[in-house]
Amino acid sequence: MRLVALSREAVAQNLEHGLTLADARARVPNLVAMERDMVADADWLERLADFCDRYTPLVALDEEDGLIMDITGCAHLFGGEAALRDDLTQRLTHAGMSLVSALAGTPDAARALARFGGGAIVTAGEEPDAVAPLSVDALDMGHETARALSRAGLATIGDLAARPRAPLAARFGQALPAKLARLLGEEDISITPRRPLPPCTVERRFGEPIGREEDVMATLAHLMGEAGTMLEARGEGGRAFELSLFRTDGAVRRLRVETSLALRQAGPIVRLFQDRIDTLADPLDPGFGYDLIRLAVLVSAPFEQPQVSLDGHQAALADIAALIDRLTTRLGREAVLRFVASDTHIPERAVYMVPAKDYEDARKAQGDDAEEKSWPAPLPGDPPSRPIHLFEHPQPIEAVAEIPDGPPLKFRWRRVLHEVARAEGPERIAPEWWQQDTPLPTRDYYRVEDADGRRFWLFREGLYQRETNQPSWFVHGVFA
Amino acid sequence: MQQQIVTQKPTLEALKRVCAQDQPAPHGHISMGTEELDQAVGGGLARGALHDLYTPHTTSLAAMAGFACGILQRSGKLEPKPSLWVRQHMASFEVGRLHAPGFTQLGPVLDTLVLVNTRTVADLLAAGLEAARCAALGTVVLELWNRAGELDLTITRRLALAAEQSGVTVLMLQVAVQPLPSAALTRWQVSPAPSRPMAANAPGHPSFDLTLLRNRAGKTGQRWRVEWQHETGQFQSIPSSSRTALSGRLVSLSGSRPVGSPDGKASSYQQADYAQALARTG
Repeated sequence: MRLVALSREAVAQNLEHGLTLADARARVPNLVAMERDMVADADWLERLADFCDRYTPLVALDEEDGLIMDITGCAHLFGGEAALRDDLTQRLTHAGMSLVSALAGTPDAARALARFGGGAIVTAGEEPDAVAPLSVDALDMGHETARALSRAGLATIGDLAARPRAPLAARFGQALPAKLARLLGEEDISITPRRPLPPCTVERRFGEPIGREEDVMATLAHLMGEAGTMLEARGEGGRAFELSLFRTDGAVRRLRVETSLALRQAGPIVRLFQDRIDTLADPLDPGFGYDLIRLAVLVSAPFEQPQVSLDGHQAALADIAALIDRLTTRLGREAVLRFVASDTHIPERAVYMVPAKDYEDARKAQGDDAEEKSWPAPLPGDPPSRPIHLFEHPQPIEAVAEIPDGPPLKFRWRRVLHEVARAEGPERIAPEWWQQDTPLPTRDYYRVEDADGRRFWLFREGLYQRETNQPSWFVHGVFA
Repeated sequence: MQQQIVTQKPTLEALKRVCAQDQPAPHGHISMGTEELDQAVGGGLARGALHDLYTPHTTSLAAMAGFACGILQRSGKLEPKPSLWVRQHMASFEVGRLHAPGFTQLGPVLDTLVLVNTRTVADLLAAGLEAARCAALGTVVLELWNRAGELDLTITRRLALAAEQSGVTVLMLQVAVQPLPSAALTRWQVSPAPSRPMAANAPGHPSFDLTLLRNRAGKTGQRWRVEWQHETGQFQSIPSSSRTALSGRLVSLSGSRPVGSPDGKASSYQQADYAQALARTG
């Protein structure tokens, strides 16, 4: 077991990173050591990244203990780059953390300065001078490369930068000069943010944190008004919205609502968020208040201007969509469903359910196929051939039949004996042998009616003497 | 209103007038497609109102769902509006999930049907209320399962008012519960009935035994046996004569048995409930 992280006091005792625990205990007998909790560390870093969202929407995780933020165009909101860094440092120090930070024109340069140079602010174009004194470890190309470079007498980035690149590439591979170019600010790459950049974001900052729900909702209404104007300018509406509540102590709460039509009016969205808040399993806890509230439009779509038709059909459709959105927000995506036909004869798989709000999208995705996929229709003059209630998993019954491959005479289901008065069948549904390696047995379906008039859909699994000698019976559905 | 009757000499005509004022059907009626049923409830099931369907046995739920589906079809025929079916999540395990192919074979409403699954009765009633306020819907079906602690006169009253304002017809299906007093306009007991057999003694069209337990527009207690004809999209009543004639041919058929009460329990339930409901709602 080795030491991976040390407190200030431990460093003062001359302990160091990578020391074995036994050695450390020998040096400092009353050492307090705790096992490393990687999951908790990762979770904490995520929460820090959430906190950093207040500075810029582009935040990326860097290894296990670092964050990279792209503050292009954000610094002026905080009074400049230095002020932004000071604000961040101050807040995190208040939270009991120690941090090293650096600002530079490219993410690689900033990272190298923070990790190997102790932090700095470097304006764009100054990177070559700033990174020159760093050791070649800052290239982050692995121990082998670092050692080989030191042996060649190239101890710092400055030494490397002065050399022609082609021989370096020949000796250490293409990656090294590329990395070097990024460090020196010659080449810029954009970071991969952990959350995709939303198409439209509006936010409100408060000098004095707010905590009352009414204030939050009023702010939301204002923000939605602004977002609506932005969307209107683009001819778009939002399909998914996210409200981020930044607490003064750094905790961030995010709420999300989705709509089935593209919307940009404040009213319905605010109502959806209200529903969302009302049905939260763990209610909002404002703590000492929120000092930043941000509304992001996560998904935008072309806004279809509702046409005023004479029969009010469009308005009715919008009403239904709004109802579905509200129910979905309150009960969850998987609770509000519509039926779509699926291309199979196996009854339990003949239908798949899609969330009602995605129904139109699903239909569009299916395209012309949708026409072909349909459910079996009864013959003219015949009663329905499919039950109105179907069990996901057929329920086993005990049945008695006159002959092994005939309809049942009586059966026992859920401990109740049903005498069969009428029966029709079999309707044979063969398994889809092209789908599975070991096909299921063939099913012979019977429509039966018992003496009380209850109508059931039973099947016998397995063809007698061909697939099995002991066919088992199941009830699969109940007719109206 | 009572005073009015007293001062104006309570003639039958006056009483009828008062009743007519009290029972407006501002949104019209859903005709069931068969004269007898329509007449009993004053010209068809009133739209924009709450109606109770009730069955004492779990296994009869499919029949009740079929009857509700028939009403959906009739309502959709009148005005093609989407409908909403709200169920409790556990119903799928108890009696099976709503099977779309079977549903389409009863009629064409499925294309616009939205299914809502809720975990609790409270969620179900809240969703039902929300839906009942949405005038763009045609019919809302609430499938209330088992013990409905949250269901009381207040919530049914709210549902009924919401339905009246928006014109949405609300059907409340109650399974295996003793029906409580409610603000519903009508209450039907629905049980599966032996069907009229097809060729080769095959089970016939969906058939139901109906008992009118509550009726604000007329008398109660009538019984019918009806059949849902999916091709014509209407209920058809089966006269008792054809029942006996048909059942005579069959061996172990108990179709001539008293309707809806195989053990006699159901009817005592109904009477007790009805008396109770009358006493409470006046």
